[in-house]
Amino acid sequence: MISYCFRVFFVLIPAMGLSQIVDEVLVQPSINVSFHNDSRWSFNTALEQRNVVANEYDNLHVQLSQFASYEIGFYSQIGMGVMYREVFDRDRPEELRTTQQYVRTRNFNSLKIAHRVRWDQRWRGDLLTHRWRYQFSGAIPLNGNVTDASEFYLTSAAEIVFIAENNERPAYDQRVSIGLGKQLNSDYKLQLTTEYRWEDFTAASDRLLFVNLALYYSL
Amino acid sequence: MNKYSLGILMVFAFAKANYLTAQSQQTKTEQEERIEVNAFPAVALDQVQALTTVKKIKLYREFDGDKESFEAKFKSNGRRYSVEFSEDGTLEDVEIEVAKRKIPDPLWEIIEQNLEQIANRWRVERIQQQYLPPVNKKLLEQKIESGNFDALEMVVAFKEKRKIYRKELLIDQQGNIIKERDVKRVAYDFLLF
Repeated sequence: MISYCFRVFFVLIPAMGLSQIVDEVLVQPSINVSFHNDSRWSFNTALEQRNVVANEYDNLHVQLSQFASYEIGFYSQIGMGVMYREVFDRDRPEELRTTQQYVRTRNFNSLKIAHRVRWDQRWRGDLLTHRWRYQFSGAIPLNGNVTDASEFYLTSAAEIVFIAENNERPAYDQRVSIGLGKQLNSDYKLQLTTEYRWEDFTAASDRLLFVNLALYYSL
Repeated sequence: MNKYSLGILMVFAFAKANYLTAQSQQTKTEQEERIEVNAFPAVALDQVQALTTVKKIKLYREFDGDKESFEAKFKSNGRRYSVEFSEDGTLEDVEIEVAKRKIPDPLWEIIEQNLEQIANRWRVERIQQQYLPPVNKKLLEQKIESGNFDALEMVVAFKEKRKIYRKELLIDQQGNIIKERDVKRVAYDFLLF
């Protein structure tokens, strides 16, 4: 049986390996609440905060998002959401983001696979940026066929983002992530994810490392 | 601010309050955990090895409501077996995952009609043949070989106008639904948002 500490070590391997070539390390704690009753509708609310870790811990922004999703088939759902980001930089405008998405998920025995296609509109001051994103992700329980209370699961994702804005050269971002989660009880999950981002990788690219700590609560 | 948000997170994360969720008996609330060979009843292990020569056998302890049981899972000849034992190691049943085409057509037609009674749109996600142990346990292998199953256990997704849900159904040899329970919905919000 692999011990708990050892599993956490696995998740942190990419963090250590890439530490040589990242431009910035960012830490993002978040709280995510989802509501799903018997109907086809479900609602997600998330509060997230981003910090950059350089010589000191610097608070970049806090954001609040609200999503509504509707199941359109046995395995797919459409959703739309709105997000407000309060930026702690007087020179940068606050951001309002609207999102539309389509998700398709399937189970292959214990492995869960999800495809997500997303269209984002970022409204920052007078600027409007469009982003088209595709994410492929998966999750697998580390004990048995389903993740029961007090058990761990492993999750991983790859996402490509195409960014378009008026009077700007279009750009591509690539993100990969791997995470370890724990189902605390039937309603709570705690998940630690490390994410590596190549921003604008067709040009001079920025390489960022995110450490995300998320708490999920389903009502 | 940093300390504040992290603090809230930690409070939530470690407030491991044990919620007494009111769950009806009709809901499938199995919980299984992987165990080592020495935690598995020896009598049971012998019976599993009588069924297969496969080396890779996964052993589980399972809690289903108040009931505790043991389960061995393995893949043999391309088929997924699940062998269930009671707490003291008595063989309860053997379940083998099969494709839809393995079900005889006349039986399948009756099953289809019964599923349509529940909702007019549905999709079968998993079918398992269930074999109960015969009085003479030595005949179990023959029973499985001849495909003479006692019941079918199926997980079916149903779609109604206002909701989509899943059920685990137990279907007898005549195609009648003899037991049904709801499959608990699992939240995968971390993949979707």
